[in-house]
Amino acid sequence: MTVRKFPNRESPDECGLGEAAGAIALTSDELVLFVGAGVSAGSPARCPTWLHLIEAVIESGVTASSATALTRRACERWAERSAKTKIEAVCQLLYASLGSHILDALNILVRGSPNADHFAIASLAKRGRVRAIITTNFDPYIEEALLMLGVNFEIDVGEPSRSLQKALSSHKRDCLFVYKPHGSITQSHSIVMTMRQAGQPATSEVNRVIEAALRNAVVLLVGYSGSDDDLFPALLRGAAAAKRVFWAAWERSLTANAWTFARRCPTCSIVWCDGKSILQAIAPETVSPQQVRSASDELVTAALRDWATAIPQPAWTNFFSELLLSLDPEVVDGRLIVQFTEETLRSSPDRLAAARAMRNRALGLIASGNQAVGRAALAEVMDAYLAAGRPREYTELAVVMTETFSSAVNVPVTDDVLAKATWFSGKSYDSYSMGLCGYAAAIELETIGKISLARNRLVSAAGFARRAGDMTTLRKCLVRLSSVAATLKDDRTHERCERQLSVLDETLSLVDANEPSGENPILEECEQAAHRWKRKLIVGEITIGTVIMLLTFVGARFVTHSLRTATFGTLFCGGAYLFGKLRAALKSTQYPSIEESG
Amino acid sequence: MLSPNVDLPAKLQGLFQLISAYLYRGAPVLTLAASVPFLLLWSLMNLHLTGFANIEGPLVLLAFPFGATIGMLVTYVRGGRALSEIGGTVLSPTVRSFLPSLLWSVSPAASVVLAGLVLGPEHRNRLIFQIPSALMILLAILLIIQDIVVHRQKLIILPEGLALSNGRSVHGVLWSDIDEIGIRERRNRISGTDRLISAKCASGRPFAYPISVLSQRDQEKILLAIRRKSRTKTDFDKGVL
Repeated sequence: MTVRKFPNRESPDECGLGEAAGAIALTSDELVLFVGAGVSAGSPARCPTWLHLIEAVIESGVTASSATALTRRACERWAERSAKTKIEAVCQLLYASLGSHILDALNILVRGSPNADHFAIASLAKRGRVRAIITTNFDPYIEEALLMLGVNFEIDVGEPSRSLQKALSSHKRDCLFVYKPHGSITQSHSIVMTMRQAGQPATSEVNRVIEAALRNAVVLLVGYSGSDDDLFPALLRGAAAAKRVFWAAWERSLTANAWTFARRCPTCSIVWCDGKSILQAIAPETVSPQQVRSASDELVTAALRDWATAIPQPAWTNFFSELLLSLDPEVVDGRLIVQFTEETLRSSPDRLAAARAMRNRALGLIASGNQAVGRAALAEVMDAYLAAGRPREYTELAVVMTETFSSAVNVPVTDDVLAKATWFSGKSYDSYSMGLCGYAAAIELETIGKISLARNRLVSAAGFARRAGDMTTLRKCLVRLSSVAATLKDDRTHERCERQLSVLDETLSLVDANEPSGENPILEECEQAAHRWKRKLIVGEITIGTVIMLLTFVGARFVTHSLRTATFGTLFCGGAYLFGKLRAALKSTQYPSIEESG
Repeated sequence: MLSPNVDLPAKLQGLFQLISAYLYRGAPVLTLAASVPFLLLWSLMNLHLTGFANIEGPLVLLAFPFGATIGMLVTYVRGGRALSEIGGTVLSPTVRSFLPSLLWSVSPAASVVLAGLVLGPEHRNRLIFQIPSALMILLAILLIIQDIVVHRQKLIILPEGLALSNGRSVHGVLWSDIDEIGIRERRNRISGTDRLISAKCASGRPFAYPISVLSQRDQEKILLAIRRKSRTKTDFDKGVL
């Protein structure tokens, strides 16, 4: 395998805390603080890391479900595989089973109060040293500290406002901005926590904000690991043109992504803090309020248990079944899932939870080797989802059906199912469903021997999956694309796919340290193919719409004998059709809120 | 009042007590406040000024709500003063929320006026126009009243619990009495995110407030307070827009 190296420097600058604090104090430029979860870990804020939080949620779920054989098995498998599983993928399962109630578990992030680091940030802002604070944290402690010290600020959550973009692009500062790209606990719909949200590339506005911050200000990254797939690539893209960057490391270890950034950025210094706070070092006169409030670990655990107990039992059974199904289930796991979901089906009054349980039962049957019964059960659930008007779930199962049974019998058995799923996905231009359908269609094409067509379909499907943040389908597409490319003797694609897959397996991230842009060219190729595919679909639909409008006009003219009525009627119907299509096309390009991901 | 723990006779008794108290306390202020503009208008009409010839009737009708409004304003100011004695953090609805909401509420009446102007007098006199117009105006009045009632309410965060004041009276719930607080969110592309909080209390006392009438900072304050003090249940409603 040819590996390209693009480091600007083989070994990045490293310095101690005092040296960095001195350099920051001496500079006359304003700071942009890039704050991660590490800053809120200290007492009295005591926010757990994302991994610890999700582990605590799972633990409370085990307690709430009275530690059944299913939950115990799921936890065992999770313990074995957690290091190789992206935490956002588990969040996706939690959101699918528990719905928006998972957001209430985040209440433990507000049980404390701002710590010394938060006050140090506020103190620096009060002295006019900070132009903007960009934070991935959901907690409100930075804002609380700013309010306590009487600092005036504006807050942006989700997409950055024009004023923030302007403030970071120009050298003049009107107001301090706090920007929370991953959302805030006080705005539930803004929270980015599931795979399909966190796996999406950052929008052009977010990219612009981060690049402008790096170009125009001294950036201090603190408490941030750089392991996300949306903000970190944007940071990497702006690394070469950065004015001055300090990446503070709490201990003498850094993530692979942080090293990649430091090597790529000629003005970056890694600051070894050795357990001391860089924020307190550069704002030494910071005084924390005397009265601090902090919830004890027992209280936080009790609050989580209280939360978990209030969630209906079938929802927890569904979650643990799905967790087990996502971790390559064995025959025994499949049997456990069938046993427990059947109990859920008997007791659940909630229609959607029952449908979810039916789905898990069907997948459990397939996992336990009972293919024929599993297939019938799967078809039944698909009908139920179709009747309930849930096309996404229908499409997910259509893919399972194709994946499991199409190649096995060597006949494109799921044409009808796939056609319906494709119709749904095309109707709404939903990237997630289009990725899934493209992948399933490629399997069908491969089965009937149309390898070249399958390759093209896989490339666009991977692009849609990347756009939708659906890492599971993206990975599957790349695996299949690699094998198809090998069959077609397309060595370049095969090599790129293999490289991206190894990066995904090693770092659980899409960021490829060996590429100049931090992104494997195969992803760019897939993205462009998806773009072309969507454009073709829209143009095709508009053409069909226009033809229908013309036919309507001719028909109406013939029936009514009135040119005016026919024109108005046609324009009204056609306008409504085009408006619907345009709305769907625009909606599918927006950064989705959590309500749309379920 | 909606609690299943309280039986019907007790509920009815409470309701009558509330109505009597309202009339007893409100009547003098209402009468005094309404009398001045009412007498002024009557005296103007008795002067037989030319401009008043055709609008005597509407003026009489206008005098009553005008007086009532002054009366409500007085009690509102009095209630506002009383809030300072309660303490806590008082969160008031914003004008920025009230005005668009009022505009929306007035729109059915405005559309009637517009339709009347476009159609001309011969259509305006027909029942087919008048009946839906009357319904639309009634709807507008209902929406306006609802807007005023909602925007007169202030939310108070206390260390002991949450309280609501409508300028005349204050009622609240204790944190210890709250089992769970529901937070409903609905994305709305015109007015921003609509948010409603509703507390489920052990005593069955109803407590609900549409917090999207508050400023963004105040919304954050109340949301943080309830997430800190109570168990929450977040629900997303899918709006049309």
